[in-house]
Amino acid sequence: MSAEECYNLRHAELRNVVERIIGVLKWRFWILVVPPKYGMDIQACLPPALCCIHNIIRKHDPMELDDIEAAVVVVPPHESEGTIGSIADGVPTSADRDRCRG
Amino acid sequence: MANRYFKKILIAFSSGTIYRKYVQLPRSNVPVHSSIRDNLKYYPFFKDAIGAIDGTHIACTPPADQRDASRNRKGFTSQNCLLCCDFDMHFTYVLSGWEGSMADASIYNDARLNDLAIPDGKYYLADAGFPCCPQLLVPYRGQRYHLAEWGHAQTRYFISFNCIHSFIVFLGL
Repeated sequence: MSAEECYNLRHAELRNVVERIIGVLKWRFWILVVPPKYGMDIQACLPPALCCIHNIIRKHDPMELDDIEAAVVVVPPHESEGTIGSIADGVPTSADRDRCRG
Repeated sequence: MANRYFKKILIAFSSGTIYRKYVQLPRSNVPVHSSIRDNLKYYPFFKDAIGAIDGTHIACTPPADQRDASRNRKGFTSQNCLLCCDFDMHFTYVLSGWEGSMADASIYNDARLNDLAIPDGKYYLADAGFPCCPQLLVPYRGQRYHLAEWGHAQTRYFISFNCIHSFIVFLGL
């Protein structure tokens, strides 16, 4: 393993926290995956508001995250996509929409 | 009526006092996080990291005249959001509303010009789509990066080990 590869591995391990948090956010709030029919001004306010609610839940129920992460299925990133991947960037599928309706 | 109160609550949570109370940028004197401090694989190499930053696509339904600009490289319409979080899984910064066709680097530059303050000497961990600057620590390009690729490398190793092992067994050694 070269020094650059070693650095990249440690970097990926630490940066993983942001991939996880985005996965949790989209798992928790399906409105981010299946968009509503509101105007764009409302839709642009949704991510900050839901991130704020995520922080409130983290503060008042710290253990709840474990339950969510146990339920989140992380899709292994495709090799050709390089550094991008996981559930955090998934395209909503028809299964997601069915799930939302249910 | 309900719609009006929905908007009021939404604004309170997305930019009002509630938002400012719960989503806060880290201070300059923030201590080194325990997951870095207590692990010799990371300490002292990453001791000034205060979190990680990434862009993510949030699906949206724009009006027809904005649909082309909102279409991202994956083919669906989205807004590109810039998110920062700390190592305790709290969000510390959110910028939303950019069209899906915008690159992460452009959104980061816009955020830096506005309200994304990064204390001197500290940095966020970012992926290769972000610019290389003192406030962001990006990976080496052209080297293996993703955790999954390391997993595959290990799998290959185990497969070859198994092959050699079964070959030795076959020879009766």
